[in-house]
This record gives sequence, C-alpha cells and structure tokens, in this order.
Amino acid sequence: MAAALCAAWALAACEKDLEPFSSTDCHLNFVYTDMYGTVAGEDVTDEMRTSTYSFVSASAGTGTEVVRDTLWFEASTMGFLSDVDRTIPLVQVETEGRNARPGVDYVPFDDPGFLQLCKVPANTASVQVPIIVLRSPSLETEGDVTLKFAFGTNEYFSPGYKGLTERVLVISGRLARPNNWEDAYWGTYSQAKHELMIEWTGDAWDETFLDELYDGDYAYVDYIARWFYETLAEVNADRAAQDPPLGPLTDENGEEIQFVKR
Amino acid sequence: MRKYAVCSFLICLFGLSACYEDDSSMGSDSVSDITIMGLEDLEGQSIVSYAGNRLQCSPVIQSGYADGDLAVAWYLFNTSAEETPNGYQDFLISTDRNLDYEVNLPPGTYRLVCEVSSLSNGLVKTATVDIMVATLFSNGFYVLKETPEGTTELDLYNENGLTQDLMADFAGGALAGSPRNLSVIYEGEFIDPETNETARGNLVHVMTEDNVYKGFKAETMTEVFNNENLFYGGPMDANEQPALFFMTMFYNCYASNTGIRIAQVGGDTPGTGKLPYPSSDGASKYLQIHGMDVVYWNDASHRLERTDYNINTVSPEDCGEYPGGMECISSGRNDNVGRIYFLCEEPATGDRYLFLYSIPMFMQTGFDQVLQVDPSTHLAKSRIISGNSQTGSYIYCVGEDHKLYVYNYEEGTETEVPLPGIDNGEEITYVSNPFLNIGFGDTSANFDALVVATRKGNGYKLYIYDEGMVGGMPTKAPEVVAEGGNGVVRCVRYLSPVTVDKNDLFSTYVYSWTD
Repeated sequence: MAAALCAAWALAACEKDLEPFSSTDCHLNFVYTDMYGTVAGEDVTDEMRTSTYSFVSASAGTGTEVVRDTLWFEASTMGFLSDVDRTIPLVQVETEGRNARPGVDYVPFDDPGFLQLCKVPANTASVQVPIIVLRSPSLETEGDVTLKFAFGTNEYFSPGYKGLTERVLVISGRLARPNNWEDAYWGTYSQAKHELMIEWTGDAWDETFLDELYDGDYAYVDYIARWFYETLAEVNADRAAQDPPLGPLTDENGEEIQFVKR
Repeated sequence: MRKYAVCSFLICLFGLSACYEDDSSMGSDSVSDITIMGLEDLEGQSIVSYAGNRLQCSPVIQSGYADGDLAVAWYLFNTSAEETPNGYQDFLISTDRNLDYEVNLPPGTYRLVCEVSSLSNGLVKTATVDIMVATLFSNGFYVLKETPEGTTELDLYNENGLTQDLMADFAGGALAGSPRNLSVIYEGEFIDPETNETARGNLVHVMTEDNVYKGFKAETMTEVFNNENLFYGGPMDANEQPALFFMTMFYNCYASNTGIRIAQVGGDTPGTGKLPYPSSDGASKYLQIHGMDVVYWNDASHRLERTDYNINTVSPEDCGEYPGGMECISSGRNDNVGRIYFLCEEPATGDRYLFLYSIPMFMQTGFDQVLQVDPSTHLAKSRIISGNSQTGSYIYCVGEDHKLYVYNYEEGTETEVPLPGIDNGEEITYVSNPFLNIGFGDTSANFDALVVATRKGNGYKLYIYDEGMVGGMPTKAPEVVAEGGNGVVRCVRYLSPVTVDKNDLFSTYVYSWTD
C-alpha cells in the first residue's frame, strides 16, 4: 500500500504540460464604485448596485427641461478580445413595486438605435453600458419607477460572476437622494436641503455631479461642505433680523435644515 | 507481496527519473561568471540636474567572455516611482559600455543599474548604486533675511555656493515687510503653471510681517501660491496673517491668526493644494504635533489649544494658572529627549513662562507643567531663541553679551556654548538646530546641525556646524561659512530632494518647522 502511494506520488510529482487557455466564452461584469474608488467581489453592496436618476436634478444642472437622458454604467469583459464590435445583451429584471416600462420610461433594450450604442468596441475590454431614460408624466403623478437590469446572453456574451451582473436604476420625476450622498459632508438628506444646494450653486447635485466632485480634490469637497454651512448661517441670521423675525429654514418634514461644519 | 513492493519501487524510480528530464537548451560545458566594479565610486554622490552636469561611469567588467560577447546597458529610475511592468528595464538611458549621460531629471533619489549580459548564453549580471539628483534650488539651506530697507529676501546655500536674493529673481523683488517665517513642505501639491495640471513637489513658503505670502515649487523656484490663490474661498482678507506651513501623515497644513487649514494629500492623483475654511478659530507659527493631536499657541486668545489629527475639534489646554494676554516667542520639539516646549512672555511685565509637554508614543498624555523662567537667566531676556531638536533638553538663546547659551529646561540651568570659528563680539542674529531624520527610505541625507548667523555690515555670515557636534554643542570650527549681502538672517530652513515617506510622519519629526 505504501509503495503504491509512493508510486502515485512520484508520478503526480512529474511536470505536466499545460494546455494554453483556449476557451472562447466571454462574459460581462459591471464595475462598482464607492466614494473612494473601485469596489470588487464580496465587498460590493446593494447600495453600490443602485443608482438614482432625477429629471429634476438633471434639468437644474443644464438649465433646460430634460425629457430624455443617457446614463452610462461601467462594465468589463472576461475572455478574449474581439476584432469586431460586440453587442451587449441586456434584460430587465422584474422587481416589487413600480417597474419601469420599456418605451415609456426607458428606451427598450432591443431598440435598433439603442443597439448601436450598446456594444463593446473592437479590441477593448472595458465599456460604458448605456441606459436611455425617458421622462414620463406618470413619474410626477404616480411616483418613481425602478429599472433593474442585468446582462443577458447572446452570441458574444453571457453573464459574469454572480453578484456583479445586475444594476438597479431608480428613475424619478422629483428630487431624490443621490445614491452617493455622504452624510459626513452634506448632513442628513432632505429634499428642501437638496433644492437649496441646487439653487445656491446652479449645479445638479445628482450622482454624476457628486461622482465628479469626489473624484477631484478633497480639500475642495471640504470647502464646499463648509460653504453651505456658512451660507445657511448667513441666511438664517438674515431671517432672524427680519421684523417680525423668521425662524431658521426647515425642510419638508418641519426639521431645521443643517449642514456640516467641516 | 514482495514482488508488488519491488514493482512499486521500480515505478517510483521511473516516475522520478521522468521528472528529471531536462528540456533545457541552455546547457553548456561551462558558464563563466561576470563581475562588475566601479559603480561604488558613485555612492552618496549628488548631481545637479538641468545644469549640463553629466553622470559618468567607466565600469571594470571581469569575465571569461570575449568583449564582443558582452552587451552593456544602463538604466536610471527614481526609487520612489511606482513599479512598472518591466521594472528597471523600463528606464534605459544608454547602451554604451562607458556611461556618459546628461542629467535632466526631477530631484530625488535615483538608482543606477549597470546590466551586463552574455550574448552567447544569455547570462545577465547587474550592479547598482543610488545617487541623489537635485536642482539648483531643490537642496540646501534656505536663508530668510531682512534687508536694510526692512523687506524680506531669500538666499540659498548649497554645494553650488550661496545664491542670493531669490525674491528679486523669482518674485519680482523683495517682499514688503520684515520676515515672519519660512516653511518647507515635502511632497506638496499644487497646480504647476508650466503644465496647468496638478503636481507634487517640494515647496518653499515665505511669509512676512506685512502679511505678504508666496509659495514656490522648489525644483525651479516657480511661484505656485500667493495671497490671491491659496484659499478656495478667494483672496486672503487683509487681516490674514500667514504664519506657518507644516505636514502631518495625511495632510499638508497651514496656520495663521485665523486658524488651521488642511488639505488631504497622497491620493492617486495630486490635488490642487488649495485650502478650505479654517478648522479652528486662531493659531500662530508656534505649533507642534503631540501624540495624535496638534497643540499650538492661539495668538488671538493668548492660550495654548489642542486639536485632533484631523483638526476637527478644538479645546483649550488645561495648563493651570498663568497670566493672561501672553505672547508666544519660541517653540520646539525634541523626539530623542521626548519634550515639547512653548516659551511665552507677558508683555506688561516681561516675565516669561515655559510650558512643557512630554511626547507620548501612541498615548494621549496631557500637558506637564508651566514654569516661570528665572528672570536672572539669559533665556528670560533673549530675543534670539531656538530649541535643540535632537540631542539635549536645551533651548538655545543669545545673551546680551552676544554669547550663545543653552538653557536646560529639566534643571533650569544655563551653560555657555562655545562657538569655535566665530569671533568674540560678533553679533549673533539667528540660531537654530536644523536636522533631517528620514526613517523610511534614503537616510544618507540625514544630518543634525547647529546654524548660527551673525551680522556683517549690511550682510551676514552663516556658520553651519555639522560634524564634531557633541550633545548639541560644537567642538570644532564649522565646515561651512557663507557670507551673504543685503540682509540680516532671521530664519534658516533646510530642504532636501529626498522623498519623505508619510510613515515617517506618524510619530516623529523628519525636520523642525519652528524656532
């Protein structure tokens, strides 16, 4: 028995020629980020998978009424590169609550024009996946809708790792808390506060704006956070000096609006 | 049974012998070694960049190969640069046997690699040496001086000699007001006007009593900051009194009469270096790191205050009873004896008080004690004061007799400091103990010196005692005596082109920033 085991070990210890990788299967994964950069694997949370788009914020940022907009979600491929463009298969995943309707709230994934955008260019491994949102009147009358989408399967790709192939987009016709809102910088979220920030700066203060802000100089983020604090103090002081004096600004819940003194 | 054992054994032998099949094509009857000598002659050398200076080396290569069988390649890379896919081989500078390379590189520590390979069998050998690359302005003692007109100028002393009146050359003229302070920052962040992009580099900051401020990229003495552009909030108010720039592990920091402002540094891409609102209500140039906190004298409230490492919360120090309205006139820190001091004066009476801290390691111990300085001592009357930074529980002070003394704050005694090489009666205008204490990385530039400046006519003499120092006191004449014109020395700071690892800033000082 021992001798047999030794023989088995000896044979197993020998060098084995390995076949080079040759699988033609290719997969897609989304790339997720938080305030500090890219997050991968088990560290990806549902919060990172979720984004919010507000037509109100986008309109504030551009100064015009936005009714159609394209959002981009970073993804990367697994497997060999290709010397031709490859269409990205997307599918909607039903959720509880109001689901976004293709053609009403977003451009359908099989729309020929959309398919021209939704592809991995030749010889690239990273891509921005488009989602084209539409402003339906029902957003204001009936509330937000949710578009949960995932990678499907076509002749080029199939989904990648579990947990890295889905995104959730909340489409809103009102101001909504951006998913990357940081209480440490901006304080507790309220719509009234959000409207003040947009009014005072003329910026969108949506996820895209915040992503760009966090990607820059942190001293500037500290400065802007403190600027809101100081500006609100001045505004409240002016209100208190009125005759009769006015109380400090409050939000939609009757709570005093407060910024963070950074 | 025995038959099976023998068979198994033979199978073992066969299996193992198969594992030793040699597919190598590199085998030859003999492999001669290669020895490279000569690079060691460059050890510790410093070369000034952008000045036509050439890095030259003629290595002695010993091997059993014919000369025609050997290929030589030279590589040069910054040791603090991020690793590249092919390592040093991404930084080829020459394929000549004898190196003759004009150095036009940013300042820093560079590794020179000589790679010798055999063309016949591919054997490769390397030899390396680290050298220091500096620019005309990236290395040396910056000398802040007060001109006869009462304005501020800046000189630089290094191996190239004394370069004078840098403000005239790089700031359009001497700065209005007498000198307040001079600060150096390693790996500061700024927008480089030459590229209009954010960048990192060592910075020199000049501040005057007229509240004029300018910050320069040391490599080229390019102005990158001033009163107009340092703050995100816009130009400085007229009452802003720039006082100090200093470094912590995560931030580059600024202190003034309006407080302390910080900018996080060290990210993947450099920031602008501009500063947000202050995180305290006042400060001054007298500031020290204490454990994980910052303690500083607040000029406005005339008291010591403490804030955390992120400058978030501020609280007054509980120092017991001491006179109100005092002004701080000196501060220092000595990591080796474990002390921080603040020396303050009561303007109405002239009485002086010494506030003493112990320096904890990872501990949040508080303030130690406040002592009134014996009025009969030189420290009680001197206007030229600076702390010993490395070797003794001393504060240097110049007496009315123009002699240098050390005040021992543990014993309350004073001792005269001999100054060999300085004539009796020379008027001392400045004294300090600059040092460089790199722990992580290139330590070859570390030093601990005593700098004494005296007045000579409208100019000065600068004495730098380095070797021969014992317990903070010189035992022989200084190696360096520089003579400068057009001003009296008020402050000296040393700047090195080495990279300061942020880990060095966790619990000790790499250099001092107060007098």
